[in-house]
Amino acid sequence: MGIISEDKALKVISNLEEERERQEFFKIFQKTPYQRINDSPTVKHYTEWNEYESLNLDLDLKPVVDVKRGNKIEIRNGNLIEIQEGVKYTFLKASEITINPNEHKLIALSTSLSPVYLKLKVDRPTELVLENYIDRPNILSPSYIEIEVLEGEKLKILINNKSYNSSLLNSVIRIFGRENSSVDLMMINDGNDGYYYAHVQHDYLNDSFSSISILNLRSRMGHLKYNNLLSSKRSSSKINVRTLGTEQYKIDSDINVIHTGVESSSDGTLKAIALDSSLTSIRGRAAIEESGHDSSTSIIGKSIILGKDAKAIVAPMLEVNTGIIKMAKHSASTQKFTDDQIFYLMTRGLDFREAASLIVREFLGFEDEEKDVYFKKIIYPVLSTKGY
Amino acid sequence: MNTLEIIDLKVSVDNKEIIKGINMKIREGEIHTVMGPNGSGKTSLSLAIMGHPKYKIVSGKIILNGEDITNLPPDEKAKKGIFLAFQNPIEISGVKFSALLVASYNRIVNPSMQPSELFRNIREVIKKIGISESMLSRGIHEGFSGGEKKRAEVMQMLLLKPKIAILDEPDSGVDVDGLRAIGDAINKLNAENRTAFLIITHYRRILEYVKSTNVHVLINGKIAASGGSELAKLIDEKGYEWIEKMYKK
Amino acid sequence: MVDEAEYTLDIKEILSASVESRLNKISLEEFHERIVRSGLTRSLIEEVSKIKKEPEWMLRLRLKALELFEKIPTPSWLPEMVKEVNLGEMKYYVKPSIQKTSNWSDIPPEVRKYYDALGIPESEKRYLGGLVAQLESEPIYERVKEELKAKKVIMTSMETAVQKYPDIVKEYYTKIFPISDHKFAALHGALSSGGVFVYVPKGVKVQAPVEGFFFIGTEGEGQFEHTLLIADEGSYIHFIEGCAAPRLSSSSFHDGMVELYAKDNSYIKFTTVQNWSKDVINFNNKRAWADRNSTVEWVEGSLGAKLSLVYPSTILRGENASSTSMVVTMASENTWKDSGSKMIHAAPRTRSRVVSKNIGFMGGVNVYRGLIRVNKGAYQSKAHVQCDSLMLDGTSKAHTYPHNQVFEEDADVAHEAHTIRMNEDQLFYIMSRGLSESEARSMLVLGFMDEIMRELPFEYAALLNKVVKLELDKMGSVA
Repeated sequence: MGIISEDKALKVISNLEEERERQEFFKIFQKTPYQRINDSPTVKHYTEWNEYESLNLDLDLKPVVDVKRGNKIEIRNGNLIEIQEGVKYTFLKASEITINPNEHKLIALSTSLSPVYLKLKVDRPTELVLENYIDRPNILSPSYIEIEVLEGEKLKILINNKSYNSSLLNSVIRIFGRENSSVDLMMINDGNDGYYYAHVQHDYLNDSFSSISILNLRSRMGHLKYNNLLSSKRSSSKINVRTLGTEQYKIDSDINVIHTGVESSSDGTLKAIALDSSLTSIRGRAAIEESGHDSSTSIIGKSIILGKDAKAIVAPMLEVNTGIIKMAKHSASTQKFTDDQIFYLMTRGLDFREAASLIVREFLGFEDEEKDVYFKKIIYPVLSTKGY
Repeated sequence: MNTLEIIDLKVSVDNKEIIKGINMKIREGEIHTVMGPNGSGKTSLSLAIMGHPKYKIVSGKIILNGEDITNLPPDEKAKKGIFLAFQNPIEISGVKFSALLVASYNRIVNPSMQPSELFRNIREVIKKIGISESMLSRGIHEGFSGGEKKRAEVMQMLLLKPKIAILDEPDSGVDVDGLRAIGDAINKLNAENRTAFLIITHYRRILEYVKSTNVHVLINGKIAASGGSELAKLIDEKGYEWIEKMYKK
Repeated sequence: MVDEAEYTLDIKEILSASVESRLNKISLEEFHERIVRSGLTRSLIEEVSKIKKEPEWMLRLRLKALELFEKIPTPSWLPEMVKEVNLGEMKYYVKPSIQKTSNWSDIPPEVRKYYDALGIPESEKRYLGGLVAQLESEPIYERVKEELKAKKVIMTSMETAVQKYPDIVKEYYTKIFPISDHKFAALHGALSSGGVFVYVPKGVKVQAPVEGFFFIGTEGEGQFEHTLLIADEGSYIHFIEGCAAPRLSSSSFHDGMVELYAKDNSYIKFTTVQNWSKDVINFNNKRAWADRNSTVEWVEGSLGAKLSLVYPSTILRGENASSTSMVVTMASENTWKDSGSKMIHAAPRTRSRVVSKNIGFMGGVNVYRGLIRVNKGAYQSKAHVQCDSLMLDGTSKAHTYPHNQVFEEDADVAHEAHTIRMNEDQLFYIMSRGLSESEARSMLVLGFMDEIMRELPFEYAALLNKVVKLELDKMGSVA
């Protein structure tokens, strides 16, 4: 119970560096509740924290020795195995990490047990691939990574988080883009019949831009918290999150975009399909603070339910704390496709089944061609097994 | 020779009879025009022919090239060569227009065409009709203006080269350039492919660009008068009420 | 036998303690002590119940409510600013026929000028100004009274109803809105006093809107009023409460409740227009049950009060039931308007529509909190929420917190929210046609609110128009 027992954790911590600091982090993990405020009416929590709480996991962590260089960054079961050629990296000290473990119970867990605090520095146009996966059942895989993109530089990164049956992938990432930088992030959170808790914090300096494309699927309880902090002038982001809920999986995406920088802008589409008896939840907070005047935000949340026992939650929050804005809007909808839409497609030669499939398959698509093709390679096979 | 025959067709919507017995014969190469006051049943006729579930065919038949297609589902009618350009096409925002075009073309024209060649065809067609390529990656009719919607419908017609094309008010909400492009598309398909047309029009603007061989006036669910292009001129001069009076006699 | 009684409660202490207990700064014991010290005790409740000559079940309900008030945690959505309101002591009346002020000159001059500007009748001015506890009815209202009598519509004070119609009251009182729902519903349950009971018999259609304001002459000035309205099968009623003109209240804390029950095939429209003076906290708990084929329409205009929390909600229990909720709020300097609607679809083919229009200026805060919940089995249900916030200047704030929880495959739920700045181009266009800046602004604001204004009877809309214009004039020029 309680994800991981104190004994197991402390034993592993005693073999890692900075034992004292890690013990402090673990104490924070133990005493912090999963969620302090019940802000969802009628439903207790949009992430069922009990699913994590009922786990009793092992650890397969080893102190880092020599990390080999190769064509990707590879973390297996929490252990850093390989770092991409040409990327500058350091290992941070516990006192140097910039995400506060107090922010969430599972951030504290990750910081206490992640064998290294990996820091990557991008000082030239770079393409990175991060494979963060588990290949054993019933283990906890913690990881902590910070990526800094220097002024004027470009980063394209693909993060493949893949858990494993009954294991919990606990990934904490911070991406920090300096002035005039751009980040193109693609992320797949694949529970792979296991669990994942992914926390991504993304902050920017002036005139930087990011495009975020995320796909979530197949997790008994998957939680993604994405914090996009548009804290500087003219920073902007395009956010696209897609969730494919199947079986009895529960997938919650908490997407937050906070504008504290002048003339910042955000534009996002969050979509989910709930099949079988899954539960998909799309929510988050878009906020324009007083210091973020002349900004604009537009976040759309949509879901389709296709299953007698499937459920969908769409709860996007919009907070506007200054009257000086360019635009602030959001929308949320849960709709099945209409008869008229099916009829239209049938007049173009598709039969009923094909028409429904087309709508479902295209629903989770991406505007950007490259991402559309990449994510569909993952989505289509799953949909096919469901008859779409 | 392709022929679409509508025999004594009666259609009801929500238990109310809208089409009260219509007879029409549309032959290859012919351009039929249906006019009539609002509420006369023009759009209902087009949707009933295409097989919309809400429009119940109470009696009568639709025969295409000798085959009874009255009760076929819409996709099979489409595959047999009937095309409908909607008056108010519905938005399907999740599905990219390009995805629909590919799926549709594969089923109706050529299942084995290479994507690159297909996209070349598509690009040609959108250039002819005057819509931008960016529309292909948008959702179906998502955020399109009235004129763009009409062009997008006619563009599909050019791509799919149907035997019989039913166009519901292709001229309403369209500017002069759009009207010319749509008119050219109709004439081109008519000349090159011998496509037969059933054009529903309220303001008859399309007739400035397209010569209609057969003109029908629909009033209250029935054809009140049929004739050649002189009938259209007569309506321009005397209006629908005059036709109604003549018809009642 | 004491016929009238006056008690004093330290409402500031009650609210402070509530806020602090939320932050877990004080224990349950300390909370209880502070409540007792504020004057809210079991013996107070017992005394009050005895004076009102209430039946046993009513007293038991009040005591249970007091228990719940102390036990239930303070809701997280209660804004901090509750502590800042200048509340002072609250006079809790049992039977107020006491005149609060006896002199026209006791009414603040700005308020008197306001009434003059609105051009409302003398008798209304006296009522609104607190000169009289009950409005002297005018002939027009007598006519409506006659209609109700002829159609056998029951409309009495809540207190009379508890005595005269105990069976029907007991069946529904706090069943539609349970006192266990949240802390302040419980507080209401303990202290409820005054309010209206309405019963419309089967098949009876009441043509003219019934204005509760003028009929009953609310006792306790809306502090803890409880309104229970039951429309039996096939009946029809439009009930209006409140008034657009600013209303003085010597009570600074209101925690009222409205329960509606629309039985099969019936129709209830419930309109509230509220313009309490600036130092009031207005809490109103509103909920309706809608049975098969019935319709419940909520219309809410919240102009006044410093802090207002109102969430008209409907449980669509019967197949084909429908409900709409139209709420317009205005938040000016130092004001917080918290509103929203809950629509629970618990039966197939139910429909709901929520329209929320919020106007903010001079730093006012508008918050929308809504819930659309479609239960499994409520197939072919449709829900639509439109939430627009208009910010007239740079300082206002608007928050939208919608929750859409869909547990049924065949359902259609949509929510849209736009937060917009007053459009300068539109303002300029209207001014170029000869209107002054403030006239132009009023025109745009009234246009923004139009969808909801149309739901009000003409005189209400006209008065509301005037009030809105006067409020906007406080803004001065937008530089």
